[in-house]
Amino acid sequence: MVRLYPLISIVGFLVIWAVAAYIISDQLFPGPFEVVQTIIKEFNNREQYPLGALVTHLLITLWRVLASFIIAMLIGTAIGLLMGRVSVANGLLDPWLVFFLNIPALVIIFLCYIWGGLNEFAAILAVVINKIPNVAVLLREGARSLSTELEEMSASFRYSRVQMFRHVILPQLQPFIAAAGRSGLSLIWKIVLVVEFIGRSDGVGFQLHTYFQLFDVAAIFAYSVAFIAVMLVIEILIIQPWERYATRWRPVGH
Amino acid sequence: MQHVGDPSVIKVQIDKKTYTGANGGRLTALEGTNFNLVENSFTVLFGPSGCGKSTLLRILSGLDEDFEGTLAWPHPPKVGFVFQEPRLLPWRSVRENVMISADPSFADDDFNKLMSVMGLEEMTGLFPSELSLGLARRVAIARAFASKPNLLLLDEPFVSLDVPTAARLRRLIRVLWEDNPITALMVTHDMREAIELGEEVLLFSARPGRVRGRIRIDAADRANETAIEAKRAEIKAAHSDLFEEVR
Repeated sequence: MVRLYPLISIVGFLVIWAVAAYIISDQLFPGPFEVVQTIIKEFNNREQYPLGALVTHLLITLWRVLASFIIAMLIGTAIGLLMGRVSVANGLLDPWLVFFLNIPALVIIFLCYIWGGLNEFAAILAVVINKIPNVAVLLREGARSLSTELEEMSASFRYSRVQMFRHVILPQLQPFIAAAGRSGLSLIWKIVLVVEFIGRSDGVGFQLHTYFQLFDVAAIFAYSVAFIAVMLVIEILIIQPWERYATRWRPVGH
Repeated sequence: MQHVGDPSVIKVQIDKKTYTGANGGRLTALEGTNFNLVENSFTVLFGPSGCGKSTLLRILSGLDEDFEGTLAWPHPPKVGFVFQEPRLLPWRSVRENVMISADPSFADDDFNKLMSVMGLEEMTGLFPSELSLGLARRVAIARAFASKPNLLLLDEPFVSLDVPTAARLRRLIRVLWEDNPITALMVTHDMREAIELGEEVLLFSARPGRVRGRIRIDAADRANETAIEAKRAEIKAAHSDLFEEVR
């Protein structure tokens, strides 16, 4: 029974939504059926896009999300490890970490577009700069929590640098990388949409911009729901299996 | 000093090793700690807690280079370390834990043989969290032997094990070592362990740690319980100040 609660909750929400939309009966408050209809319509809209408008814009946004996610994770991890392990680096970089953690995302996006031009590079750079500080903060904690006992063990057995990183350090950082990745993916796709809204002529953010000007709420819902669905699929097919694999050594109940 | 220049001896000469204590003052852990480890012999370092035993092992393993003195090796050092805690990689299986640290010449056949000697052949696929402390210690010992060291260091490898498990582990180490003698140094504060495993026992005093005496152990001394107990009583009578009753 307990396993059914999420389903009951979702179905209940859809029913309330449908009833409310029926009572209000306003174009600005579409019900779930209209949203599904719009999703199908956008999926089949091949006027400008051979793959259909929905799929094309989803794919473009997804590529921006993944590209900036990977770059931000790599650079953020490197900075975090450096700051966690080398106190001089931590001292020098810490004020900038605080600065970049608190600078509004919009300001970074504006500056990237103004200085870099309205192009793909500036768009991805803006997202990357927004995300790096979060990754760095989490990975710094990870680097600080590394076990000295295992470090001594691997040093006494003369592990190579590669062995040390692969077998000793990376598995200890895994929970921190997973946390940074989780929060990263959801943060990044929101920022990517803003970046597209402001300065791109394709992607989900651009479509939302267009339909916002037309006050087409059904289409706004359609694109949001479709992208949330894509992220859910990534979560279920990639992130969760990877986490299960990476934590398979943990005793049950932890 | 008869071993000077002997190529088959690791010559340990620690003039002074200090560290910063909890209150900020300098404490001397080791001072004038000189002894030789004869190649392929099993030496036991016996002393009360606080005699710098663990510090000495860290120096010998190369983990601590901050000391006055010299270590003269007849060959490039290659250390296998059995720590007080098993210190296995929790995210790697028993097999991976052994093989990652193993010498490149250590093949699958060697692994299977070692696991069967250690009674671990059923456990090679398990993760450390699935092992009891006694089994995890066995894996740690297997790992050290698999690394084919020219110096095996054992830091009280039997603490917090129940008596039969500790006895079984000592027999296993004895079997492994007799099968493949390597220069070994074990620290302990349990004279029974020292007699059961060592060929020579170095008696250490506390703070600073110094060699106070050395005792040969023959096969006859560890032939049976009575012999071990007799030897223990004999050493204790002569050096009662170094003993902490552990059982």
